[in-house]
Amino acid sequence: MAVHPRRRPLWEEQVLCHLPTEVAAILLTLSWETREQIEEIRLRSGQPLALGVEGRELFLNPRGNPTPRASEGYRVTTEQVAATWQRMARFSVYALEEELRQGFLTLAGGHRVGLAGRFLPEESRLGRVTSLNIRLAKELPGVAATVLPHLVEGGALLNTMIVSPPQGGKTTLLRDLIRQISTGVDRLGLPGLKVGVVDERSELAGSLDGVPQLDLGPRTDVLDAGPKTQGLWHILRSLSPQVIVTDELGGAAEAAALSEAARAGVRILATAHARDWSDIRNRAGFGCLREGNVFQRYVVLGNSLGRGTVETVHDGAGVCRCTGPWRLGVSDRTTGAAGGIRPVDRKGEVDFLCGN
Amino acid sequence: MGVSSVGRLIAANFTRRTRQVAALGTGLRLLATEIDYAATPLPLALERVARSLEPPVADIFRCTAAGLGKKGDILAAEAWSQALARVYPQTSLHDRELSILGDLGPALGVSGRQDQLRHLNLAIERVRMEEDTARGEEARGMRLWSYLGYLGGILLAILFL
Repeated sequence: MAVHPRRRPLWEEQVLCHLPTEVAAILLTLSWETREQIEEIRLRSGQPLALGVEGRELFLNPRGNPTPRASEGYRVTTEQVAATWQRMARFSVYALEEELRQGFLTLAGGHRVGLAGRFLPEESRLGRVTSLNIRLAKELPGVAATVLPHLVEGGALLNTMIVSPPQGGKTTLLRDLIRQISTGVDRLGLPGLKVGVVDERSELAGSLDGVPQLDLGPRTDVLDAGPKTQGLWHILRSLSPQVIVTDELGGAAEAAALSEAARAGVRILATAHARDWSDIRNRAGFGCLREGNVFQRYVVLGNSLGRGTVETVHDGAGVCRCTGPWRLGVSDRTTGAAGGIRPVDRKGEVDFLCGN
Repeated sequence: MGVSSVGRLIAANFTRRTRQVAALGTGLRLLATEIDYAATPLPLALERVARSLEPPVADIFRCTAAGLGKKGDILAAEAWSQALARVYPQTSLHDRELSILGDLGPALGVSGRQDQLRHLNLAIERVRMEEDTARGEEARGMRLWSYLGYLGGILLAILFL
């Protein structure tokens, strides 16, 4: 039997302690490779245990083998979901009313748990929780190394928007961009900059009780769980940032606040859900960003080579500055930059049974 | 002298019970305050309550907090129930108080603040009623057993004369 000299994936220490013993035991029967590839663990009352791996959802049977048939999957009971939720809530659901309103909570390590169940309209929050979606936070240091050279000109950072469909790798890329910009990148002549992050959904920094759990660099301040529109002004007024960052830009008010911040002379990094560059440029509500030419770079992520594929990089006028596709973390043809990065590309499909 | 001491000892049992029921009420009120005003996580709230009380009532809260700190599938209701089973025999509490605490267990920490307060306030009110009853029993019992002790002592003295 092969000996694996590797360290246990960090999430196991942080997440397995919350899960029912049986579920944790099933997950531990999986190979190292698979455990490192898990993106989501889904516990639904009365439904089979499911994992999100490389964008696919797979069921696990009681022996820990993947199965496409739900009927063969290990069935998670309502009691197990309730018990898991209680442990995640530190037996103190009363202390998580805001999280129940938002529909998620963050675990130590920055892992986000999406919640579903019975909604209480009179209190605008969840009452009973019956579904848990644990999204494992993964830090991939160096994953932005192939993208950053396209976002810097003459040692200055350009205002950049990252666009992709959901689960395209926006947040992972943005997190590493923040870390690198905050630290500084000598080879690009980019000094370390003061970065203010408005982390409305606690996803970038994975904050627990306001304390960032993920590394965003030495010059980064995080405003956790604050609404974007207020948070942008708060950071701008109180923290004298050189770069302001926010994730998943939504409505016109947020776009307007960002546009104002750009006029105040700070650099902007943001992400948004969109299919491509034209989709984001023509979006209603983003008119002020378009008219003000706020963004000088648009990084478009897609799935043509799998999760985290950089499809193109456009400038503010829509001129393609770099054509992909290439996977994040893998050396691209244009710059050849790949120093110190961790490759995430794997040839072929994920072998889910490897090592079992 | 010896017989009157026995009487006083039995009477003291009534006092102990009243004190423990009162302490239980205080503990539940403190717990409600921790949950309502500070939203303190349950294990820490239970620890804080335990620090404010005397044993053995404090041990109910302390053992529950310790149970929640252990690894495994244990939930708040089970930790509470195990703590009651362990500590109750050392107390002067009656089955009625045990029943009140038993009813509270499944609700501990599993719902929103208002719901927690509803459960705790109900338990506090029921404990207060038991405290009133205990005080009445204490007053009656103290008198009765003190008298019986003295009368027994006098009776024995007469017999020995």
